[in-house]
Amino acid sequence: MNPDCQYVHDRLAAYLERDLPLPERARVEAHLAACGPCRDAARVTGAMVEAMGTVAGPALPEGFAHDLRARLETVDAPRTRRLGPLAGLAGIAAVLALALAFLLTGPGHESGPGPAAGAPMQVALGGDAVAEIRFDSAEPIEGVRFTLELPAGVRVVQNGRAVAVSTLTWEGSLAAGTNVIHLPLRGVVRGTWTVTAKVAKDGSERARTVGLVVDGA
Amino acid sequence: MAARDPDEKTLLRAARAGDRDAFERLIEPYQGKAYAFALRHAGDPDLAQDVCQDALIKAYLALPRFDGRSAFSTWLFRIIYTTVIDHARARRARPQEWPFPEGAEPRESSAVAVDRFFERLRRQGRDAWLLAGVDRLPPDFRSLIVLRDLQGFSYQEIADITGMPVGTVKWRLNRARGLLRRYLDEEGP
Repeated sequence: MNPDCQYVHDRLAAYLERDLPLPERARVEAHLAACGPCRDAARVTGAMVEAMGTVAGPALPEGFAHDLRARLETVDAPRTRRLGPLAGLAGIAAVLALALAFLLTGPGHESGPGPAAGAPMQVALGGDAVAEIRFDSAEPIEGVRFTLELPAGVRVVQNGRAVAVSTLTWEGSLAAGTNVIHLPLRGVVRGTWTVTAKVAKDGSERARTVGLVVDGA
Repeated sequence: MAARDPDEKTLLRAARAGDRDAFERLIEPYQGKAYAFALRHAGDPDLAQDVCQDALIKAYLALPRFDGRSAFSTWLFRIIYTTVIDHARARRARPQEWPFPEGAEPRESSAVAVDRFFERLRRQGRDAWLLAGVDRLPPDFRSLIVLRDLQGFSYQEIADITGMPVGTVKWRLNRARGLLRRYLDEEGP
């Protein structure tokens, strides 16, 4: 395909939806006036999109509402709680916090950074990785303060979006038992980065780190 | 537009408190689109119903996290989109990135192909022909065509639902339409 045709094809959707800046629109129209195949492509695409807009959606299966109601009856009501602006992130962080429970309940509650959680993870620039943290907690612990520290090159992913925040702190509790935690992260700047999670209670603090190497896409 | 609508606000408040009737009324306007989206990915009506209902139950449980910064419909469809796509991926033999399809660049149409296309548009069974083409698309392209061309979401709404930048949505949709043209050209009516 020659460059002029490619230029038009790259902008066909925007052109048909009148979403092109004037200079680009003028260039597309000039080309369409002179190029039959591209004009055909534009006509066909326009007609196709218009026809798609009239396609009737499928009917809901018989009994859909009844089945949904039956399934809803099997789940508890949503857990209502007061949400702050970082509520979603606190939710992520609260999950991560569970991973630190065993540090509090393990031998010695001395302060100081803990060991890194294994070899650094690798992620392409702009790519996502999930930090997995496994832990055991001997018993539930209430009233714990959590802190999540994110370096400049790493962001937490919330609902598909990378959220720019450097520190998160919140109060919470720890659950007992074996837990596997998944913390979604995105590498946004090349480099070797360390995410630090801290947990503190009654003057004791422990930290755990997760390494992330962000390299080229 | 959900959260600003007083009726929807009232329903939201009640649903958050565990009122299942309110939740059912809240999602009623969106169930059809949710099921249609699931069906295009699941293929099988029973499976589509299961996946769709999985998503709606997730939404019910997640209601306390809806903060009203987006329309309720967008928030709901983000959950539906994620659930349907995750389910489709899980059904594959192994996790993988969906590849950008080979030859996605639109072909230059011949006059004969154009005439044939418009003739098919006039024939009975046109919707089935169009949907057969949609179903052949790679899942990520299919999602965009369904959300934009079949269901009429705006580019911004699609960006919010899928987590893609608006520019990426536009670019991929353009490619998806080019590929769909090719598939429709190959499909019988």
